[in-house]
Amino acid sequence: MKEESIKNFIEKYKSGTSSLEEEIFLFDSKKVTNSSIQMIFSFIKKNKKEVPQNFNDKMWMSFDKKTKKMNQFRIGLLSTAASIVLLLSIYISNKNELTNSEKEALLIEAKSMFIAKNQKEKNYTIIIQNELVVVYTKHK
Amino acid sequence: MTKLDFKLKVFSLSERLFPMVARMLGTQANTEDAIQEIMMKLWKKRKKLEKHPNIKGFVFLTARNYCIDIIRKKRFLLDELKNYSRIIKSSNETKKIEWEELNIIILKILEEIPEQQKEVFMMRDIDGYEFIEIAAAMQIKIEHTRVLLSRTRKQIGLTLEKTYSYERGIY
Repeated sequence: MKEESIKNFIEKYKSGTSSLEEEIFLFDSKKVTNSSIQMIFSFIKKNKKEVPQNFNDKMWMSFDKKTKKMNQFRIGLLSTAASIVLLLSIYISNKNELTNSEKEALLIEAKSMFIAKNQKEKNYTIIIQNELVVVYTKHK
Repeated sequence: MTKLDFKLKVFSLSERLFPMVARMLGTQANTEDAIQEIMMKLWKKRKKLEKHPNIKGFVFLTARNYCIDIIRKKRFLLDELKNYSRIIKSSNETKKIEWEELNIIILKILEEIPEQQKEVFMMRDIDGYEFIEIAAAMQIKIEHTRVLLSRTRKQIGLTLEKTYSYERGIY
């Protein structure tokens, strides 16, 4: 490359209009004579970080493992929650079911209500009854 | 966004993020952990990310913000850069001393430069990013990025010239 074009590249570099390719070429070029620019290039080259080989693949493997673990954890958590809900609902439904003695007590209570009704009915005697009128005595 | 889409559109940018994250956070182990964390954050936001008009820009912005958060917590940006420079081995001792001296001088110049200018210079010249990537990460216009970069390059060049002219006795 001619010295003229190196000068042009440096001018472009200074004005911030050079492309990345031109800059890489400049950093590696030994034809740069401007000492301050040489120093800047030297600083840049030495501070550049090299990307490790197969970086994306290596990182993906680790990321894939993590996300799979996260999914497994989420599934585990959901199934645990579902199991807890199921157990609770069984427990609550069992709790609401009456014992035999309670059922018996309720039945007796219900029965006594029927007896009371029947007794009440016995206090009245129907004399006439049709679709429109019912005539009955107040007391037997 | 499926896992495959995420791998192709987002995760594939890990290599591009490496120089910036490594520069900002220091060691390779820190960098790898940070990129994993950044990717996990982005993975959690994958539904929103799918509709984003500039996925690449958003990834760069997220990575930069993440690094800034870490630095704010640890405050070791320039120290780490200095440490990193000290680790670099030179073939001979004189060159090593010269290099360390130059490194310290440029780092001092950079310390004097406004933060935004310094960051644009680092992202372009050290990390090797395109203007569009820097603009997205810094949330500024491409033209403004060029202006800041040009200003920084000229400023460093002039200060270096002054420093070395003074040392050589050329006033």
